[in-house]
Amino acid sequence: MPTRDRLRWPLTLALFGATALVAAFSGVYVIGIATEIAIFVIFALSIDFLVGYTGLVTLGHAGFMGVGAYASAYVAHFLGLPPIVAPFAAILAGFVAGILVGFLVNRVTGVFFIMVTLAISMLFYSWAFKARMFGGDDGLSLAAEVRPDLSAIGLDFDDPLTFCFATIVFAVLVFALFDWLVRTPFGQTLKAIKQNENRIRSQGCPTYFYKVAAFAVAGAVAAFAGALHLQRTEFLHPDVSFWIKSGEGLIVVIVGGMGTLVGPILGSFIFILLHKGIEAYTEYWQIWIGLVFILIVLLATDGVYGRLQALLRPRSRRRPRPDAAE
Amino acid sequence: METVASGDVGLDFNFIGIQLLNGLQLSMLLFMLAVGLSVVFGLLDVLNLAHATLYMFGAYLGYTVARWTGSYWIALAVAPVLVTLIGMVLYQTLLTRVRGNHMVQALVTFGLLFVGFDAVRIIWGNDFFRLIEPSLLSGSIAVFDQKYPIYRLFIIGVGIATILLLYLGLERTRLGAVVRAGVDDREMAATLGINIDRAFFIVFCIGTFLAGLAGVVAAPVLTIEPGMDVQILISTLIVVVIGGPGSLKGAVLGALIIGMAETFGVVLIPEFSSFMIYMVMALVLLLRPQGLLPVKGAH
Repeated sequence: MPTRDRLRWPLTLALFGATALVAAFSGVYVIGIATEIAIFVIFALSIDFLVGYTGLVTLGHAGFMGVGAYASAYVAHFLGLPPIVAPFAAILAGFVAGILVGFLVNRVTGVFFIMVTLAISMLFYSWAFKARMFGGDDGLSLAAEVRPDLSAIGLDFDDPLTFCFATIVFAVLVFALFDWLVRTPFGQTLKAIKQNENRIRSQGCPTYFYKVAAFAVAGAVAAFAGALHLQRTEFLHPDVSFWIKSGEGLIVVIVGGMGTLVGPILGSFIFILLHKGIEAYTEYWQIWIGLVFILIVLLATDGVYGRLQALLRPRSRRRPRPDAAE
Repeated sequence: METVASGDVGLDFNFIGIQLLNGLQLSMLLFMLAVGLSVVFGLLDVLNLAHATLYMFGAYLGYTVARWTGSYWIALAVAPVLVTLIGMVLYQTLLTRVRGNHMVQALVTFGLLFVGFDAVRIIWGNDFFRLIEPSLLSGSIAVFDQKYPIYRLFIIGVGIATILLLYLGLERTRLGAVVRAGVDDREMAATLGINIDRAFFIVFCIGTFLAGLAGVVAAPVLTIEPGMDVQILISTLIVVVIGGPGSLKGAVLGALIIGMAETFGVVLIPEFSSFMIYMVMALVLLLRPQGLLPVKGAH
């Protein structure tokens, strides 16, 4: 395993470094795409933590993004607190929501888990869809008031490029957080749960609580992504928690290569760039992502990053993947 | 799902009666969808999230056939068969490849949801359609001192007939015995020389047929639009989860609970109506995570 990961930091820094460089010399449109990618990376990393490391395949993770967006809108817009508080409120709300949802969904496993996560996220969506206070399905336009005023330390978040750089830094920090977390005893336990939950439970490990804790962490991070998403778009809408968003997140993780953290980052770049590319030609973009996704699931379970590693592995050590069947 | 307006919102007997009928109608639609999903899962270990896509195709194909032929009844007869054909192709090309791996199945059929969503937009566009009910079933009759649309009673009738036919088929026919054996212990049944794969395929086709049928039957009371699949998929999944997978009785009970919860939620506590079915699901998961009426022996 250790040799597998040597690529992860150089690749991550190179990708984001290149993105920052391109953004610095581009117009608002490209800067916007770079920002979108960085925020999506944060979202995708939190999904990979659940799917790739804990073995909890969730189809409802965008629900937490919604929690973050709505919590930060509530704090900044309705309570009138300084916007700098909003992301922290989002993280807290996501953490609490993660615990609650985690307690519930981990009552079941396997396919039922997938169904229940989907249902719970749609619970949030259907609430937001009708919540008159937040504009319901019309959404709510929030001016720049949701973006923190950091002029005290010389940062202007209203400047797209500054905001873009900030999200890139956040994305790298979140990557560092998960990269550290999966190496801690806590992260190792989660990996063990993914490999064989029964065995580790019979050794006396309260796996249920570990899974709930994983949900709390992933929920908090996804909610943070939701808060950033709101700051980027300045527009609150239930769609942030729609099942398609959850699906896109899962697709990105699997297409990129789950359980690698770098894979989801690669996946986010591929996904959003492809999205923008296809969108320019046709409005029927989902059929393509659906087909590509099905092919990747059927043919390359280890995703783009897995293929990349296989290519870069020295010839003598290339051998059939033992875990190909999963 | 819209409900029939009942004028005075008092909790009198007639009002409750009408709402019971509304709830029953929704329950029957949910049952026709859930039973296919549930039994196919219990039997084949195939979780087909695209089941709801097939339902959506049922509604669209029903609309198109009715337009071409001018007859609802031909649409009702033809569209479910067309949907079954689509299902067969999916089964043979895709689903048999991913047998035995739940995650891959769920993901592949999830990808199909995306494909199906755009497929209907490409074929039929973004417009909303409505299938007109046949003249025989249009209009309303007096029930509980109020006018009630005949077509809604027809939906209830179709649902009850489906339940009875499936029950008899499961309990009284040879195929039903094979299916029950397969749900109970697939390997043992196969060891005894039963052609499990053929039985499974037939069951899959029946499930798909019912999804298509539900699509056509629902089309006159719902709007036919892209995305109508996921709207009902969530409720259907909840029915399967609370009923217990693989079980006919579980699907009936789950559909009744969810159909009634949704209907009465809207009229009794409108502010919280969107939460009702999730509350029910949460409650069942906390108390009986295996579902209310699980099939013994299935996992």
